[in-house]
Amino acid sequence: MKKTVEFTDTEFMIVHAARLLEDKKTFFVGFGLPQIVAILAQKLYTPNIVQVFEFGAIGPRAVTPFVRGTMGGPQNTYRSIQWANMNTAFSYSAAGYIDYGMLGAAQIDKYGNINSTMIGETFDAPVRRFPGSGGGNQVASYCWETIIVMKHEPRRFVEKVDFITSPGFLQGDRSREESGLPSKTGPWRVVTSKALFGFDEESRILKLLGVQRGLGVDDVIEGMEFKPAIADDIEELSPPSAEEIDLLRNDTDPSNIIIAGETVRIEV
Amino acid sequence: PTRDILGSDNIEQSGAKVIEDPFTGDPLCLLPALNPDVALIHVHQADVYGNARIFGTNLFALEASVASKKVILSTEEIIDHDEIRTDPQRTTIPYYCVDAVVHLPFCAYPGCMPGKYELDIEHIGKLNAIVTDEQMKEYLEEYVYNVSDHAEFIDRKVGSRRLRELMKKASIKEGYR
Repeated sequence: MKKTVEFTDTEFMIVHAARLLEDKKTFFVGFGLPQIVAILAQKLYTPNIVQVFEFGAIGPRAVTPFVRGTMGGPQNTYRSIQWANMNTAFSYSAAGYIDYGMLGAAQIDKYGNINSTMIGETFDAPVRRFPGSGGGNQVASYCWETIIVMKHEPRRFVEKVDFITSPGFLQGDRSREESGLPSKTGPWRVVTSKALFGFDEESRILKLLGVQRGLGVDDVIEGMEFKPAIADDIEELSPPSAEEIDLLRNDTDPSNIIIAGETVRIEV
Repeated sequence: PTRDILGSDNIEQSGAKVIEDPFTGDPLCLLPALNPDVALIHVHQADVYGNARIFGTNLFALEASVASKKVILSTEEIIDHDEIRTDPQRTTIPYYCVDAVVHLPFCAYPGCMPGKYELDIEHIGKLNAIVTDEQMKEYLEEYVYNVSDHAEFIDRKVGSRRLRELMKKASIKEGYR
């Protein structure tokens, strides 16, 4: 018998980001959504993942429910292996100790460059201005594998971003390494509310790897300003499981601070 | 010197410069020093000379203290100078970086002071909801210009009942003593 599962687009992104992580790795966790991803992953899939906060907490075991607005506070930094500061946390990433980074993006281009600064033709007269890099540039510059999490809006996938806030593969090929950024680092996956992307190893162009159950390739790439590479075998991305949903709604974020979003219904 | 910023558009919109690393020949980014005129830093404990302790993580308290032309510390608690000397590992900022020490409990409000009081999420929500200049003006009028000092702000705008709640919510003490 068919059953309908209901979840939010944000929950979909969170669970698919959490499922990507490998255990016993270090993970540079930004403010908000990445914290929920890390908590979910730590509880269900990767108990030994080591969260690193730019505030200087290394390896905390965050107390749930999640508390917003106080990333460096007692709940989020509970039982860390080290309490340091921003300088030290970024020194670890610059020295190559941090495996994963996770970032959001207002715009992304075909080489995984991220814009979280402004939309518009010139910097001085933007159509919209955003908060900017924060620590995003450093995360994207130094982490071995950066995961970008963003709501699936095709217009945000552009040929060339209006402003490179955080570097992806820049102009493709070897341009990232040639710019002086550490080699073998860079964007690794893009998780959206409908799809999963990686990057072509040669050209460094965004490559579709998976689509949400019930959707086709065209459904997710239509409206993008460029045509991404398409993997030979497209993975079907299953909806959040009952266990994942239960943990998110009843344990991690019961106040619905981060997980709120548009409701999606899928028949399973 | 740093390797971040490289390759991004932040270079053009900042004081950063790209040079050739004299050791490796690779591109390297240089950032100009940032020297604020004044730093306001709130700490858990300080002695009267300005030797200060922050418990838990901190973003860049020491770096800001070293870099700033003037440093004003506010502290939850004034402790004896001898206490500093019996546990020097805990000193976050040494006195010579500090120009003034103000004993000002609850100065982190509406933020949290780890181990002492929780953040006031409702008040933070009020701040986060501000989007227009007009709303900002109203907020400042009510909570800042309308009170003569911090003590009056705490008395009239927060109140002892609320403070007690926030202190009670700060139940995690591990690491903050």
